[in-house]
Amino acid sequence: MFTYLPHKDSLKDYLTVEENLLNWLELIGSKIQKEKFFNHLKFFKLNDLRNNLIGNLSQGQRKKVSLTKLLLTKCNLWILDEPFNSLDVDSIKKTKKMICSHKANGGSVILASHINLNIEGSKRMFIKSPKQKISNKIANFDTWDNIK
Amino acid sequence: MNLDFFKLVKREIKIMLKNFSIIYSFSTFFVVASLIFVFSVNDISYVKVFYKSIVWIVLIFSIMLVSENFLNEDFNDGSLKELQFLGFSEESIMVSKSIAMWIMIMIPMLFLMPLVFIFFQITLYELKGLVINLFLATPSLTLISILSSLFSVQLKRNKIIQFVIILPFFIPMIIFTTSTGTLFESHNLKENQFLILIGIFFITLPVCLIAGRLIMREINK
Repeated sequence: MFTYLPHKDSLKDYLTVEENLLNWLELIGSKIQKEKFFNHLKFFKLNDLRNNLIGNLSQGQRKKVSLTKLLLTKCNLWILDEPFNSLDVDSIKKTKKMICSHKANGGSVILASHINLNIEGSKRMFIKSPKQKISNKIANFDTWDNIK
Repeated sequence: MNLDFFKLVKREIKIMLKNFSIIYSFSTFFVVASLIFVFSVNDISYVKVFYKSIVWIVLIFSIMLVSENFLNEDFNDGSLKELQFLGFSEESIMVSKSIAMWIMIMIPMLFLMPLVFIFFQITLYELKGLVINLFLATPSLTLISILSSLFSVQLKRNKIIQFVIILPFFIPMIIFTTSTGTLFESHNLKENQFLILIGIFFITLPVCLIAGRLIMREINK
């Protein structure tokens, strides 16, 4: 079981923050207590925005709503596509903390990002087509054996 | 069918019912376009003769107008990709969207039918035939419209090709929906072309599902 957050936030503009998240939870067949749900909203300070329409939120706030999905599930593997886009410095730190705590609890995260996270124990890799030429000196990625 | 499919259908209906602009634009277009036909003909007896053709053409264009909301939006906000990643098959996504779209079309149509009754001054018996036609033909129409919406996602700029490809699918619907009313009056089930509409649905369903699956896979490449 894994949780995938695409590059786009996959939220509906005409639904509120709460409706969007509850709809998503229902779709993946996960149930959560209301109290816990509101507690998770507090992580990105979304509690006051929970009745706001997604269409009225900024890009950063939308991204935070999208990232809150990760807190609501118990999936071991997170696949994240550009999770730090549109986030402010404080929220990037929080997301990084969230990833570290997930890792500490035995979870795994695969993410694509332009930001160098420097998370302890993380491995950097790139997937390239056979014709593509990327200098390893510039990219400084881990070797496949290292990642394995 | 597993339980996940019903979750998906429930999700689609919930989302669509919140998006009231679909019902609003569908109803407004249907009423305004029908009124234009009524006002453009001086003698109401002519409108009475062609009421079925008018209603069906206006209905097809109204459905095409709103159909883009159903898949384009999901594609643009990343939900389509997310649904596929969550393990929902392309077919179940298409069927769930068609069910949601059918409900979204039938709710306003039930309220608009009395208006058609007044605009075109048809009899209650003719109205009954029209409503039965609607119930039988709209499932096929919604499936074709969802496919059209998928085409628009894939083709992006070339909307003309989308119409050229999709419009011929509507021709059999137009032919049989505009002719069933007269046969309905014969009370003879064997002569009745309602069964053809059901037959068209069973042809449309697999064709649209196969084509839809191929387009969705192409979109994600």
